[in-house]
Amino acid sequence: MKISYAWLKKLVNFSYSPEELADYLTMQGIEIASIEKIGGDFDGIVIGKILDVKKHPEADKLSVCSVDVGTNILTIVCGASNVAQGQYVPVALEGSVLPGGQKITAATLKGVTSHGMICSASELNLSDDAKGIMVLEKINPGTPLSQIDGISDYVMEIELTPNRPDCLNMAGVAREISIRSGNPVKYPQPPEVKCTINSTDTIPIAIKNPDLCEQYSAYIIRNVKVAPSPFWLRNALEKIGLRSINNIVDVTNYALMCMGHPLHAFDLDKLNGPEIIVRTAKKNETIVTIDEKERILAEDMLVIADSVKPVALAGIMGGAETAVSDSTTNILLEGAYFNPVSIRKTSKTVGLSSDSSYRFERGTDRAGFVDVLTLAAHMIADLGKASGISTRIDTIAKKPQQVTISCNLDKITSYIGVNIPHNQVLDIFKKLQFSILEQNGKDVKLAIPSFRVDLAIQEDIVEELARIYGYNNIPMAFPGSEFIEFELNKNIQFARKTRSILTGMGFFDIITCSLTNKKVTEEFPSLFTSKQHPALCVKNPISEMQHALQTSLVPNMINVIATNARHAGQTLQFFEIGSIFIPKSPQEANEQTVLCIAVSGKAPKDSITTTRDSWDYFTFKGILEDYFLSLGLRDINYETASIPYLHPGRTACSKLNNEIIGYFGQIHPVAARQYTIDQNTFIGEFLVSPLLCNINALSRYTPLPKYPAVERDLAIVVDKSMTFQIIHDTLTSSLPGLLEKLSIISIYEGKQIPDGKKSINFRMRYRSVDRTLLDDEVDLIHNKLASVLVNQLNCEMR
Amino acid sequence: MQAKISALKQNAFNDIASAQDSNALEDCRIKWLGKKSETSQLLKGLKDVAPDQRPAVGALINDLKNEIESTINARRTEMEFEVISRQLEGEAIDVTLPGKRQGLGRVHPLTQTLDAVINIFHSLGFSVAEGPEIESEYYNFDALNIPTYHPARDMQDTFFLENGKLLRTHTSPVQIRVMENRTPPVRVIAPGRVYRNEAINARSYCLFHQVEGFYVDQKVTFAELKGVLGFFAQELFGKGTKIKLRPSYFPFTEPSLECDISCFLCHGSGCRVCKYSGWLEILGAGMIHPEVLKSAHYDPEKYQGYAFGMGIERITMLLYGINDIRLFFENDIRFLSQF
Repeated sequence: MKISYAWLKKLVNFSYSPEELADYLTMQGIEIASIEKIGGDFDGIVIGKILDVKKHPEADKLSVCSVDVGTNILTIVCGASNVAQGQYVPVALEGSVLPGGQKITAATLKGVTSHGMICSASELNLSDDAKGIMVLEKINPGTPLSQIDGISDYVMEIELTPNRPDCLNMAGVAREISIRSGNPVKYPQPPEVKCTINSTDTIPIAIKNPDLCEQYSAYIIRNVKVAPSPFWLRNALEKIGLRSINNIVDVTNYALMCMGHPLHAFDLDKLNGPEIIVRTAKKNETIVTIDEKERILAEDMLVIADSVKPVALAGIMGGAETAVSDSTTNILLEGAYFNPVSIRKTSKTVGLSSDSSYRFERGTDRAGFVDVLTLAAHMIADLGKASGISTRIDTIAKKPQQVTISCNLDKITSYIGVNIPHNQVLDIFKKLQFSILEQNGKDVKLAIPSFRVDLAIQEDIVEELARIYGYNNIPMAFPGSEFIEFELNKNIQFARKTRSILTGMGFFDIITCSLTNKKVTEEFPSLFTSKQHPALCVKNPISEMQHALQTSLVPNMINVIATNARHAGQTLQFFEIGSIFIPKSPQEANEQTVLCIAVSGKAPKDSITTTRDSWDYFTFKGILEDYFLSLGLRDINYETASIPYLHPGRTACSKLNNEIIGYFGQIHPVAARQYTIDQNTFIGEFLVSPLLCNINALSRYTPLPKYPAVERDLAIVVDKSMTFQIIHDTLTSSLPGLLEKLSIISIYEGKQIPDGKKSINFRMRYRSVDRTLLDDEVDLIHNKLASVLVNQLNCEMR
Repeated sequence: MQAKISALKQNAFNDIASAQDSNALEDCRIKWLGKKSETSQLLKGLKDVAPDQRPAVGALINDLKNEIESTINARRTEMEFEVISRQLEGEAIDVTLPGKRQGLGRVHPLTQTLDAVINIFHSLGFSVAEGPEIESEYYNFDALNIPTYHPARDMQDTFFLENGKLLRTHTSPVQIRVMENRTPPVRVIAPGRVYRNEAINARSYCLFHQVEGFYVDQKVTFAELKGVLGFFAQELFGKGTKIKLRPSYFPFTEPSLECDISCFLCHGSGCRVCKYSGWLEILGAGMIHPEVLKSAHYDPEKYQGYAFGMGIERITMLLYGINDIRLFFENDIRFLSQF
């Protein structure tokens, strides 16, 4: 919302500069986001009266005007279409400079010399209106423009929090200034009207839903002349960004912007009855609102109806049929108090928000609005030269309630944590217009002014006290409580350890978006569920790219590799710790933290100083093994696995305690091509919850070996499909304790080895913790292991 | 005899010094120390020396032998060193060529900030808690004193899910979840990912990271909140950083505030980053609203507390001078390598 500095000055006395005012208000919780200076010093710009307008002999679109500027009469060429004889207009004399920096000199336009310029509001930096020249009202020609009241101003953008609807108007902001300056607010008073006041002129008003509308009041104003508003009113509204319509609509907008209460003017003659019924809509009822759109109404929506049909969507927008037009003569001016929740619900459902609904849904001044209605009715009667005005017609379904809050002075100051003397507290209450209904020692009962709809409980009073006392006057204290156990949770510890190890091995930590295209979730379904369901989706996505909750971190990882490969090339290493959403049923998803890790790269050819060869499966697996070991996980097993987007012969799953904890392997060439990756890429995804089971485990010391080890080699020929994992598990389970280490020296296929077989050379290291092993003993064990392989795994010795 | 010895010594030394390689040196050794050498001849001639002078002359000859031997050894060491030196000369490299780097990875800048924030509050005795990203309307709104038709629901654009749940718009639901399971005193921070249904551009993204913190006990005050925020600002942005609190509004706190810090770039004198105000807005906070305490079945008559929340992207952008939030999620190595 925009507010005017000059307008505020009329409402309350203060001596702060615009910048000071913005700072004070902001520190009081009324945030001023920006200050814009409008107008300028206007040296050499005066009021002129257009005496005569002639068509330019050479140009259709130009007029030649003679303009009285007080000291003399000037010939000025004007291109605006709205120029007319008798207008009072701003004239920039020769030698003057417009606020935008343009210097005015005599200029010849198609043979006619123009001695000055008639200005638009935009050229004077007064508004964005550049459609035509600015038209003022009768002022002595030659009067400097700068002398016109409120012409140059500062317009401030105010950003109000939703709890302060009382400041969605000039008077409310003036009240906040008055708290600081100590000067009272000078609310505008209804003008004295010259027409008759007819207390018998009335209209039946019925309220059918007292919960939704507590009071409906109105004035009837007769024989109004709908006309343009006077300059001061137009100027006031246009400065704060409203368009001037006519004297009726402008007054309701003025009442709204100055006093904060939305009013509505009906063309009384177009109301059936005429009568007013405040009720909820009937089934299938519709209304065409002022914006010419037909609205279909639901039965819980509050409408203002005449005897036949709805004429306004209560508190949101009036109907087109009964709106004030140029031919309107008799007016019904409405002021009412509507239930905020009802207005908001209707506004949301209909998809229509207005200045009016914005205020009603935040809460309006229940007790004070009738004064705004009275002000506006009398202004309309005055400006519209009415023949008669009624007295206020009130229908009250529910009386306004005085809000009271009880609080304890010690409690509210100790809540803040500062010892504010009680007389100072009471003084702040007075500035806030809280009156003390009862006081019993330190317990006070406060009556809250009706415009403060946001105050209900003691903590609200604490905030009022704190903000007026000044947040920055409150000292900084430090917690002095008893000891509370505190810890970093396991996820954080896991993430930190993972980051320190993987970044040490050259990996970059990445963060990607967890919302993705639905198609991607179909191509990369979760690895961690046996039954696939469609991914959980957002109901109101902004774009298809942020539609579904990701089921795997892999697609984002592949994208990051593809993007970086394009310009970074060479070797890439990434990991991400993030959430995936595993669909459990069509409507449910299980949120799981996973680790995604990937390497990608070609063998570098163009540098003598790079150490890495092209990535291969075993280098990647080695990294994973080192990483798992660093997490204290010693017993991870590997099995062949199959994942659609991974290489069918180079994919494994990792198991811990017989549970699958993750998959990894080389990316399938087809998937790689789809993402335009042309280098070796390996990727894996692991569940975090099993990985962090040992995160806090302390290593226990094992004594260093005292007795020597004995090594023996073993060469076998075995089926090509036999995995190392099986041989390893068979050997270690046959001889727990003495077989200290089993390593592979070589694997061979080809000459001398039958088709479908492979030869493996193992080296076994035997050691006992309590004695030196003798050769005979080792031979015995070694032969035993060999026979286990022969018998259980169908191996042949070489 | 003595003159003979010293002449012999001089000859031997000259001979050794002029030996150019190990073969020549070996010849020297044979010539001067071998069985047929003059030195051996001298020893043999000892029997002709008068018996009373024999021990003294014998000692002289022995000394001569030892001296020649050690000179030959020294010369040999010298020669070997020359050989190694020549070899090393051939092995010389351009030591200014770049090293073969293993290459360290980097921690994402957002993670770095998040970790720094967690460490600061952990040092103040805050525990860390986490909560789900898929939330119910109850935890995200209702329990936080934002009823269905409350205008404050407009403050955050929400992603609603097909199943009636939503993607949390802030980490505040964790506050309720933690309080439901613990009795005061509780002092917890909740870091995590949150979502806003906003168009993606340089200033906004559909998700970001937040850290929520709260402390509930019997006598927690606004002044203590101010103290904790002041400490935090100095730890994260440097000693001497000042804070400024502005009254604000959040449905879940009362009183509410927004916290500015003195600009760490211009130290308050005004620059482009702080828009010449000298201050940077970094977080929102306040005293927990009694309705929120009630949601967690805490008695607001007995307990009170504060809560604060900050956006990690915003703080990181300020810290490093990053002007486009999308960079965080593109993960371009050229970007990530800078932190």
